[in-house]
Amino acid sequence: MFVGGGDGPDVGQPGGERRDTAGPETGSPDIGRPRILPYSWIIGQDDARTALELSFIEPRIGGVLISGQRGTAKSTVARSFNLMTTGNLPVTLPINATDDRIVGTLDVPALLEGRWAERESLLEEAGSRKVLYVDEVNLLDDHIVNLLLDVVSTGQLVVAHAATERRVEVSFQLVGTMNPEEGSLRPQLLDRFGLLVEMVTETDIDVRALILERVLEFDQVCRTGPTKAYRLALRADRRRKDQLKGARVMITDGAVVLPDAVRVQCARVAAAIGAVGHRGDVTLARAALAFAARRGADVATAEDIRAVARFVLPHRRGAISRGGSATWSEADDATVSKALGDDG
Amino acid sequence: MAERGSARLDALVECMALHPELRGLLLLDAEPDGGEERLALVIRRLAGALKAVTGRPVREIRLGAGTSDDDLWAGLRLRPDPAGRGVLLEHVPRPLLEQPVAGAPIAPIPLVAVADLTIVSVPAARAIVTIAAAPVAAMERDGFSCRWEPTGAWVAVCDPTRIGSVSPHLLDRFPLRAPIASLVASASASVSVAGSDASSEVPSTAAADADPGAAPTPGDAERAEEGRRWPAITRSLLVELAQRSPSGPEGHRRPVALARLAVACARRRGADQVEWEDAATAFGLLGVPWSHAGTDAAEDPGDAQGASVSGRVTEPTATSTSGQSGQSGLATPSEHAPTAPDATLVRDESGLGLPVEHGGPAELTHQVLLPTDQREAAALAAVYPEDDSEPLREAEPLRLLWAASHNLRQLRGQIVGTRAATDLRDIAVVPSLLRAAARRAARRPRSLAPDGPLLIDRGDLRAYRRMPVPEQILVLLLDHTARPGASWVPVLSGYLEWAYVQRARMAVIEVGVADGPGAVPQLHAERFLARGILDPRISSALAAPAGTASPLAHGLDLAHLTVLHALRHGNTLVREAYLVIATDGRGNVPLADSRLGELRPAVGDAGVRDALEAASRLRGLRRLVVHVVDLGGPPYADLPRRLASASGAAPPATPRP
Repeated sequence: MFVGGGDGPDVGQPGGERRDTAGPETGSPDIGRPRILPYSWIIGQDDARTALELSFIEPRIGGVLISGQRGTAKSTVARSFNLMTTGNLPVTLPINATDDRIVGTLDVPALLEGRWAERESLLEEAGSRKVLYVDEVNLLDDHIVNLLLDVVSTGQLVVAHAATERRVEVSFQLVGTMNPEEGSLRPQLLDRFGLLVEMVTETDIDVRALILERVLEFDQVCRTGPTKAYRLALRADRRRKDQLKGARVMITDGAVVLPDAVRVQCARVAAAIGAVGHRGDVTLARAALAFAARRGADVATAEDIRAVARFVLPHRRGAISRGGSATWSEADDATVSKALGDDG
Repeated sequence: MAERGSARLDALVECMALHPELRGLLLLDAEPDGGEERLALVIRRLAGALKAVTGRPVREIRLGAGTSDDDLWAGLRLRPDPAGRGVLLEHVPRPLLEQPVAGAPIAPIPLVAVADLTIVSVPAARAIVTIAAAPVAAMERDGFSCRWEPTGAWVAVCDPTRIGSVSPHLLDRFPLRAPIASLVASASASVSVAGSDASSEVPSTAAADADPGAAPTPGDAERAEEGRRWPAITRSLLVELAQRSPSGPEGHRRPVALARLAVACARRRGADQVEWEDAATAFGLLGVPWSHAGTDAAEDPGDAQGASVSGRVTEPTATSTSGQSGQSGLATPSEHAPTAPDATLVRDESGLGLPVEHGGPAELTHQVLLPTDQREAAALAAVYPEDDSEPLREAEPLRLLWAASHNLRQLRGQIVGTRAATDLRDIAVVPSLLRAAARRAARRPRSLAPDGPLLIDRGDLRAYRRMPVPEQILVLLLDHTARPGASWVPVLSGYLEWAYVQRARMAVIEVGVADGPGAVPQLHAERFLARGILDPRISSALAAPAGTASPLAHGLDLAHLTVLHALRHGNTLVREAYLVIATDGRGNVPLADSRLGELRPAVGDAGVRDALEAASRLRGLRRLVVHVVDLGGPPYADLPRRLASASGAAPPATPRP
């Protein structure tokens, strides 16, 4: 006899996001989607938004790690962006996950009914939805990280049960959030994130007040139903999504060019910052192209490199493996400028 | 002694029930006695309020030092088949997942109580971090999956004098704070603050001391929601809240919590608009001071709503709020209205037993808030004691720390087959099901349909057979500059033989390896991990040539991290770690330089000092034994001894010639 189980009903939201309970509060209105702040209502945190957008425009960048203090809306930004671009919450790998759910297992309820069926693993689900989100990624257990690295680096998931085995091609962007107070990430996993963003608390009082306003307004929407401002926010989200999709098409179509001189500059900047290996150079070029596409340009320039270096390179320095900091500094900006050939 | 709740308790639990984002309450309680009784009272009041406001039943859950992942999430349970044939296998979702229980249309609200946050288990702490105050949550365990929007309430008790032992990340999940003494009073005593009887009752939706398990009362829920719109809040009040909220390293959560509490206070009194007095009440409920002074007739012309609000507010003059009383706390604007009955003592008219400021008759047009003074700072420190507390916690407290145990060791290691199960641990589900399926037709009772449940007999159960896993680790720190050109084997043979016999895992940290002729000195130590002593990298390390730089401090830092990781990270099976430091103690690269990769001029003895400091971090680590192999010589022959002393090692062993 099987009671309950994980296959809860689809909630009928865009994308059929599963919600296994009666909802956030009995009697609360349906706001048409999971209760995450609209992307256009997020105040500040420009770096995180830029990095997520670049990774969307050029998926080969390889995802984003958002690191920051408590209460800086790291998870909200990540979830809200995914909700805007896909209509779904991202496939989430929680820190309580066991390996059978990550790599795949048999469908136990079906087995108990006498049927042989496999259950889609989180990694397969992420492969089909193109994003795997890991909240508190630095709290993942070691053997889970190993499983993840194995699949991310090979692009193959081997699912083996009893006497059967199958290989699945999986490819997804890794999006993670972490609070560095709770420990760092292993360099191997850190290197798998294309971009790194450090989020900080907004200190300007007006900005803080605006954050309060948006949060409270969204609370109201969740309790009393969509307001005009909320509908406008969703409309703004749709516009932004269309813009980003347009930029993505530019990349897919090869409509953005990376001149030879700029390509050399990518290598020069990566070397000047002390990036280990060549992944930094490649990602820097891809991110510069995405940044150019994001602003509608058809040629990537040194300015695009300058804009994205702070996301691409800080976690690729050799010093990271020796306990060094991944914080981007003004000195790093100066190093980039020098490598780009600026006078000042 | 009988306990009773104060009006402030009622107000707080009602706000928690009215505003789902406020459902985390940290009770600060330094009293060793009676804590359970006080917590139980808070839980009863909160359960009553939740039930009344939401119309959902409430399910109390306790988390403690022994809470495991299986207790929290879900598991498989075997129970006897009522027909008397075999056992039935059930999936049991735990209440945190907010699944409706059998036959019930809606899931109960989990009301999670933690009697002592300082000793809560790591799985429980991780659950709090991932669910409390989160808009969405996910559980993916043991073949089951659940994704939901948490609505539960969380109440934890923490001793403020020991709050440094709790992760700030965990504390951050509790938006509301209150000293438990301000919420709960013994029946024989009353809490009276600033002329207010704190134990006086206020109109409340909380069914005092309600039974959490009792049926919901839909009438209450409808009554609570009926006719209540979500109160609006003005920009000027938001700016004030942003300015007045206590700052800290926690981002925006504190101001957001205070603003939400102000909204809840307005909702509680059925208002359409959040007024200054609601903000003041919210601050007062948390014990955050809100004092007034000065005059300012200027009004923000662009803020029409703000103007409308200020029109309803009368405020004290500069002279009226000189803080003569010395009492911290709150004064609602109405308390300073011209009609205030007493020029020197203002009653707390909120009826919540909140502390109030002294004030006098006054006529003002705008409210100006004083910058936080020392008295307010002291009050804030009482509300957020973690901001000033000494960190007493271990490194990375939310990472899984598991005590190595025989049972756990049985559950790890590579699977090499199955065996007949003797208990329900590590059941090999598929082989068990296959065995049962093969016998299904023969054993099905006639009363069951052909597509009915699969019955599993005790004899069908199979458990995994696993390879044994190593339980020890040997960490070797080789300072190559201390033994240039000589073999390591005579010095370390005893340790290497032990590692071989024990099949111990190995970690090797190399300090001062030569990079080759003319190469830049290697300023950092290198580390690698190996499954055992037979790893070929170990023999290479034992034969590595010596360089000139000796980043000993970095090597010891890596050793510390390695040992911590081996002993504490994840489902570790390592019971004991042995760290062997073979060195002459002459570190000549400061730790910062190793990390930067640049050697700054004139380092002096910074390398040695950093090494001693790094060694001191090894002292006192449980299940770690440190040995220092003395390779020192004149004129610094005492350095290995000092290193041993700093790290808590026995006096260093002198190597055999």
